[in-house]
Amino acid sequence: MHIPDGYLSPQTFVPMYAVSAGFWTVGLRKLKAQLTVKQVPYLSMAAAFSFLIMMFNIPIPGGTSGHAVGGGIIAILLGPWTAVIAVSVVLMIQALVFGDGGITAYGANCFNMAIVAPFVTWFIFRAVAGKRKRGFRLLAGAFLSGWLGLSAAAACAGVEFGIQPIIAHGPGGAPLYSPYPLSIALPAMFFGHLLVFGPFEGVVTMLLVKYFYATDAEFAAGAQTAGKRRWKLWLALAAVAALTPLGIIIPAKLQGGDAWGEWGAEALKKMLGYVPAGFRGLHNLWNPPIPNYGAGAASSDTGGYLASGFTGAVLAVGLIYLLSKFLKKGHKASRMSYLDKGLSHIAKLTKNSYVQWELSSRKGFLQELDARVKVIFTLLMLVAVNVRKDLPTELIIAAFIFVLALASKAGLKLIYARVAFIGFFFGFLVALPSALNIITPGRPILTLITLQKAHSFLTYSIPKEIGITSGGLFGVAMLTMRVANSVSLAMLVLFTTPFTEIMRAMKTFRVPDSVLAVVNLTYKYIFIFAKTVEDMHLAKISRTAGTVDGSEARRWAAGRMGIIFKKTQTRCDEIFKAMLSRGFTGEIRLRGRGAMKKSDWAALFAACAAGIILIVV
Amino acid sequence: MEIAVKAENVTYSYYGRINALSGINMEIGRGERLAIIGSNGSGKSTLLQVMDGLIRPDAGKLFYMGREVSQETLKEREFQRFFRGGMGYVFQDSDVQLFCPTVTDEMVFGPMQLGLTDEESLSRAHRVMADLGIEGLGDRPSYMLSGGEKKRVAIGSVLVMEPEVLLLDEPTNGLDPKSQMFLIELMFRLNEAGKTIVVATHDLALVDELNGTVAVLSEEHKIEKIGPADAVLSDQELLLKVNLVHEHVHAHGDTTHRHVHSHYQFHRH
Repeated sequence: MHIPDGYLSPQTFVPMYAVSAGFWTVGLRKLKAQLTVKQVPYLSMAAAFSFLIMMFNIPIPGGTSGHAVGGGIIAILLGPWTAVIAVSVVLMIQALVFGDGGITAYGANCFNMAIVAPFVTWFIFRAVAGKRKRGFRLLAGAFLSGWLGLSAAAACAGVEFGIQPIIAHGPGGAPLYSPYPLSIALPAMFFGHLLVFGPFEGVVTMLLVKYFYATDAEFAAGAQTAGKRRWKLWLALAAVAALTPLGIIIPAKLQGGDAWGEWGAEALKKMLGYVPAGFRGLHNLWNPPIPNYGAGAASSDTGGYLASGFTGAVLAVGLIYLLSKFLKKGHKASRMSYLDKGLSHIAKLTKNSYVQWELSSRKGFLQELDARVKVIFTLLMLVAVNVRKDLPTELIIAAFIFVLALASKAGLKLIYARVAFIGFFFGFLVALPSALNIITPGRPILTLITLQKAHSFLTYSIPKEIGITSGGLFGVAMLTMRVANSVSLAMLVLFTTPFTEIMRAMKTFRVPDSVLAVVNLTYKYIFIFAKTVEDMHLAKISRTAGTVDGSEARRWAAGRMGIIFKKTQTRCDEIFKAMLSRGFTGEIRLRGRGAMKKSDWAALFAACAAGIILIVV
Repeated sequence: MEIAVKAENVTYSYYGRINALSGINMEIGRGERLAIIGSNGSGKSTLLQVMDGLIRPDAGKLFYMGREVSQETLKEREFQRFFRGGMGYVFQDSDVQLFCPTVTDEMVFGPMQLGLTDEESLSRAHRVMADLGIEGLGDRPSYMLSGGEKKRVAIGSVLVMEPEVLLLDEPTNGLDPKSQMFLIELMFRLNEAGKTIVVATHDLALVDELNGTVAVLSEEHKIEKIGPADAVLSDQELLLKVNLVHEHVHAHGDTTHRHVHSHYQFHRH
């Protein structure tokens, strides 16, 4: 659910930043009042915990595995506002260090996963479980809250994707950002999560809640001490959140006139976004029955709309299931493999950041520059990449980034392997089906299939001739370039600047020192706990003989997460003491960078000039 | 001799249930080398944390340089600076102690909290880093350090505050022999410069090396004895009682033979 750069137009990601910023401000203030000076270690531990939860793969009955977002469980255990800040910190580290989720899309990702998911989870849990400490209601509350919290977040992401074609199109209605209209994006995201990942998140939440409430009565008593309800604040925040997408849609609708009428294609297409082109044939096989069914309900109401979305999602699930079976045959996966996978993830993570650190301390053009200059440069370029609506500029930017990477000897192979991977999967493959005239309206320049007649089904329509349109091709190229350029920019700055320096540079942008301290401490503890998890796993292997079945493995994983959480709590107390011992008085002051050199100023000027030219001209 | 730290009848228990210290009375003179020894769980770390004002004793009083350390006095800005600047605590687990982005940030954290300017803090940091042989590590994040380097950085982060009293919790734990020797020499150097050194440990070889005063904590969380190192270390009966040495069973030919056994003596030169 991490939205990469390039999918959202500036009209979307800027307001999303603003909404999230509102929640961050309130959240930090609330936490400061509640936690007093302890907030830095406390938040860091919560964030490190949530990060590690995301690294755990848990088997889903049916052969696949998935991972939890962790925002919901933190909201239940530590309160929704802690979850807002902790998950935002995690998303920041994921975006900056691992290229998971975009930098321009950070505000939107935070809104979905760090705001909507925790709050929905928390409300549902409180509503169902109340103050119970055991029994059916507690578990039911945990399951439902995890399930629906994630689904709500997915629905938000679906809306954010879906409004892109309405907001901005290129020549001839070609998509410039996320290519799928609301009629595809929303049901795909919402039902996909409601049926597959949501129940899984529910199970994880339930297992964790069960673990905590069963093993730690003292903790369970403290977990639910919620603050006073401030309805006014809630209403205001909810209103802001609700109005933003409207504010985005309405002007676009007035401008576009028939924008809503342009909704095309059918829900199934969504799958094609994630499955290679070879599956296209499959969809045509069973396509005909649908219009017949649709014709009955075609008087077009929300019920029919939901039904079609539901059908698409059921098919998506089926396909994912088949795919997983198919892939499993390939390499006889053992029962423990999901754990090993999670652990190899963790090992890779540690290695990855060692490599980054090593590369960023090499000598080279960008390495010599002040981190502040690089951060400003990256942001300007990211805006340029996401604002420009033509291919030549995107190509120029790509070439420019390449030259800079070359001049800095910044691990070209590593950067471009990552760029190619993300660009191909999140740019090209996802967008590919939108090249068809089913999704992007227009006259096909290459006809693939000719049907006997055109079909229409609710808001979806299938023309007689199915083929690739020039507008569609342009859209695919645009999205691929956007995604690739955004990723290469992020990687470039990361591979030439130590993480700690990037954080220090954020001081210039008025990010509070305490937040930076939390991010740094979280980053550090991710490694320390990752090591712990690895050790626990090895210790388990050394004592395990034979195979472990799925349910036992699930219990084990939940137990491990529980232990990590306990460790984070004790650690938090110890670190706080260590801080106190060295004179900590409640305000963290992070040492700033010294004055910039002449060459830094020159580079800053050049970067600004280049950025402004690229954005404006 | 001037008294640096004084504990008066200090009692502490975790969660009001698990007893950790009962009725501790002790005085630590300025410039003294004191080793607090005791088995696992005897309350050594707890005693150090009480001395550093990090946890509040259930009963009893603590004085630093003749002034009482309490929740109230610690709220006064002036005393807080005097106390935090004067008392340095090196945690057993360096990972706990290193919470800043880079080594240099770690070094300047204390001085900056004490109200020094960035420049003063940095110049102190560079001095201490050169002294500890870690001047090349300035830009490293703490998770990129080896165990020995981490320990040096942790000690450095305390030394930059130029404390009068240095509390070290199991300082040699997990260090290789070379790092251990470096640490012991450093403690002597600091002691000669007039600093008070307090070490909590169950490493009798270290106690022997330090050769200062020894306070023995019993498993009942009481002070069993305070005396010079050689007197305490040669008192096998006492060491056996507080579970710091054990009876060793081994065979000589056909007869099984049992004697009190302490590892440190075998390494004496």
